[in-house]
Amino acid sequence: MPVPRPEEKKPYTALYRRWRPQLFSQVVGQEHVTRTLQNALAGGRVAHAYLFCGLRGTGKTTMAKLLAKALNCLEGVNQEPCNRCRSCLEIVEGRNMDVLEIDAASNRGIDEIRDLREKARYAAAQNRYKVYIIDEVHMLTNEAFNALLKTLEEPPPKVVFILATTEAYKLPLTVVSRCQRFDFHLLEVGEIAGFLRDVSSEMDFAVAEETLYLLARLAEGSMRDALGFLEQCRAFGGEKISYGEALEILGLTAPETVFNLLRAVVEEDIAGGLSAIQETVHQGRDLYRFIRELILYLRKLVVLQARGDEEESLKDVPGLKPYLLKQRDKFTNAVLLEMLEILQQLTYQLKGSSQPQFLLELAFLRLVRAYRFRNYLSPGALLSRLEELEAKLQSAGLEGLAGRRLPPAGAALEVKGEELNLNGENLTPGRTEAPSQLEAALEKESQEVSLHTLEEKEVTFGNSGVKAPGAAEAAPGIDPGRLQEFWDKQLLPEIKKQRKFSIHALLQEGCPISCQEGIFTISFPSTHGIHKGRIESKEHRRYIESLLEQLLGTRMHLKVILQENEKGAGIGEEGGKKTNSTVKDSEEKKGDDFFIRQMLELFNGQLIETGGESLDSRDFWSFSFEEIDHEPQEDEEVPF
Amino acid sequence: MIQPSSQVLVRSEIKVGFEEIIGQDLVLESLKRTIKSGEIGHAYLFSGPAGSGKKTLALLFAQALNCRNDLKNPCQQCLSCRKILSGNHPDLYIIKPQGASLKIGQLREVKDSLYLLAVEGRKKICIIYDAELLTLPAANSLLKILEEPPQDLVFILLTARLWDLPPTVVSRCTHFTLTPLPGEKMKQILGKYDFSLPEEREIIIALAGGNPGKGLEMASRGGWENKYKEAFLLVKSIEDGPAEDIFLKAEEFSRRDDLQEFLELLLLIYRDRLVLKLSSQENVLINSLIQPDNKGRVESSASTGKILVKEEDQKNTFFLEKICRALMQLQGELHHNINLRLAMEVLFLKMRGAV
Repeated sequence: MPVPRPEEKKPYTALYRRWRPQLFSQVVGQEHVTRTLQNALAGGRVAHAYLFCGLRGTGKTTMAKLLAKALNCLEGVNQEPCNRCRSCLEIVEGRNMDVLEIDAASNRGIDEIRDLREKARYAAAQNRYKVYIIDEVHMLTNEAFNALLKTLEEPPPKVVFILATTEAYKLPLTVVSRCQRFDFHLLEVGEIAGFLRDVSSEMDFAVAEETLYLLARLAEGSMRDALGFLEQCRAFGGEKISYGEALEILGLTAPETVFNLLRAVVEEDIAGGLSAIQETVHQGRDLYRFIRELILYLRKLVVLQARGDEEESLKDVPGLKPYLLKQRDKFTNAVLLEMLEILQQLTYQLKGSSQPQFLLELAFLRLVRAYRFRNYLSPGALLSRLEELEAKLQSAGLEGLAGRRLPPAGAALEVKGEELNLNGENLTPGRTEAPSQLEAALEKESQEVSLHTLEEKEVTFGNSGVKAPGAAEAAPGIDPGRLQEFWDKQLLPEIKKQRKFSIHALLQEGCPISCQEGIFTISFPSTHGIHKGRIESKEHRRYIESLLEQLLGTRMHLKVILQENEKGAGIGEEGGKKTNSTVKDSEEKKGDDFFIRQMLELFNGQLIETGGESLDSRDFWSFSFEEIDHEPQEDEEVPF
Repeated sequence: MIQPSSQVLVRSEIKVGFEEIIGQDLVLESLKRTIKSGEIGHAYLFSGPAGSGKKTLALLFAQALNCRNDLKNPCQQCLSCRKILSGNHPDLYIIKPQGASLKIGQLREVKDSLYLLAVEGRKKICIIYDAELLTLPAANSLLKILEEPPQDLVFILLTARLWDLPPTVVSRCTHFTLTPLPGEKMKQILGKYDFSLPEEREIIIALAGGNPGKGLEMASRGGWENKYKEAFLLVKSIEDGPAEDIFLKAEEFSRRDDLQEFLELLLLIYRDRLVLKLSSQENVLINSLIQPDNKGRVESSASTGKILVKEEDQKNTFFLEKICRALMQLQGELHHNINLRLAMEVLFLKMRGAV
């Protein structure tokens, strides 16, 4: 039975093979290579060994074939091969006797190279030069490389070696130094798009400009990839393809979806964001590519902000441009970088995950949190919100409330419905029922906050009876007289002994105040807010507390205060000798603190002594950072 | 670890033309057009998770390229189609990993015969299963022939882990991604199975994540409704029950051989709770067994056997998120040599809120 065959005109070859440049002038990019080679050809100064390296699809093999043709063209060695003579045609078809294309990855042993060496001694049969094109040369074994060295250094006359590889670093230096090395660059998006335009118009394939740029961008600098994408589009579309169809066939998400997801981040529209993700999954889009698109989008926003010049920074992403311009002012640089980091992490996690959708959803929550944290809780933003709040309080006639300590508005991280709206409409001064509503909202928030702290600090397990550290009863303290001695002779040396130098250095700046009722109080000079913050970090605090427990035999709760006034310094004095730094600091009046001075100016207020640290501004910061920046992590321990 | 083996199902599914394949419309459309126009490339790459239908498509494509009766759609009747199906067509080369990898020697063996002309068919087809397992030398030795193969040779590479494939290989192929099927299509695929409860199908669809092979394999085993209920009750008892039980349960569960699936069920529950807490929109829920009322609370209906959760979820989002992460991490760790009982204890303590 005869096998039916479809009417064939001529065998179909892939675009990237059909469009392999046949002239040096047709090569896209890589001018540094073409010019050098052409000048060498024209001047008759052709080297005996070349090394072409560069990433996939940048034109190494193409250039090697071009060089072989130019060297052997029957019309003489010129800057361009003629492509008409017998020799040129034979080389194009890969059947020239004297141009040997060797696949080094398949023939990688020393035997094959020995064979090559033997044959290289014979002169070219029909042509001027014998050309060895050794592709994927990085796969040769070490022995094979070494066997090649002598031939490569002093080849027989009229033999030219062209080595091509994607991984030049794998070659022995002895090989590299015997060759003229050319590094092929990644192609630019514009260059690729231009070439794709030529190809598609030649094929009568209608593709819009922005689609071409999309394909070029996806190719990441490789012409072969770009032509592959074009071929894929053609296989799907036939005679024309739209931007949407191209996105679909390449498994990409529409820019709207990316835009919508980021809009959801900005507006904290969790439901909207989750729906966007769900929709992407339902459409069967590749989530990995989706993340890549998100990353690209955010990166473009960074570039846009840094350069400011929209034409120049967005020229290779025409499809995204309108969306990017709409969102260019929504993100600060810090947010963008943090979001990029989260997404970058996600790309690693996605590999091999059975539930990529969940991962993306969780990452989305992190994005919202990052955005919220950076935008609402940066000092500047907080300050302006405080001002706003104050103004509203005053206009609502609520002076009584103004004195209360307000929890940071973002502290309640349950991003749910109404709770978000502290800065929203239920605070509008026009309403008559504002006071009670506001009060309720505040109450609710502070409850939430306390709930959170409770969860963090005092999770009890069943009825095991472990109590919160603060509640330790009637723990024996150290009397104030011996406190300094304990500090100098026991605690600090012990820390040093355990090689916790950073903690030691931090603590050296402070002095102990008291050790009573299960609370060990340390004071730092008012300028040492950073020290206080560091000591109060979870890890350090836990370490010091456990050390105290070891030394004193009871559980101690660490309390760190800043010495804001003479009174604070006075307590330090009671403890015995004063360190140099505290003397100096106590001389600095409170008004000298730049931060406080600014605050006083800004709020037109005055300093009131409160005696405690409850109004300590730094306490407030450290609290908010702890609560908001908190990511639930596997390795994290919450004390019982 | 249990790896769903879809081999048997693939074989039974394969006896179809392009029309009977459900889903993957884009890929099918492209392949059909390719065959129709005769513009057949020399190397194709199908990527998608295990069970997504790569082998089915590859064999179908091979049949279509060689079918004697129909130039566009394999007839499944002719000698060529049947030979390809049974794997003894002289022009079909299937290279499978030997042990843990695809070695350069295996490729050398076939490479010489690949340069010969087709014996019976129009095209010689070389299908490489699990291409990500190509060793580095093997992948490199493929590059030249993959770029400029002899006339009439078509490569079809299949991979579940695209990112493990060298970019030099990917760049030489026409690449098609098999995407997860939407729920509707999965319903269609599972249509011929008779489930005692409609919910079972929902659970399978949710767990299979749009992967037809996995879905069919799960459906053939059954019993998912009960497993889901069991998982749900476990969550409840860990959160509200006596603390001592945790350790007993941990031991019990660490000995289960369907642990991986069970963790996935737990993940499903926690994920739905989290989403419910955050958006209270039903359409983003993966599992319709949990159904929220309009206030975002979860209601139950005893008649359909839906799960009973009346009150609003007391856990905050942080907690739920943390458990989701813990579950995913544990799923990954199951492939390593870990102390299962300890791992389950830690997990359950986390679920309890104690760690």
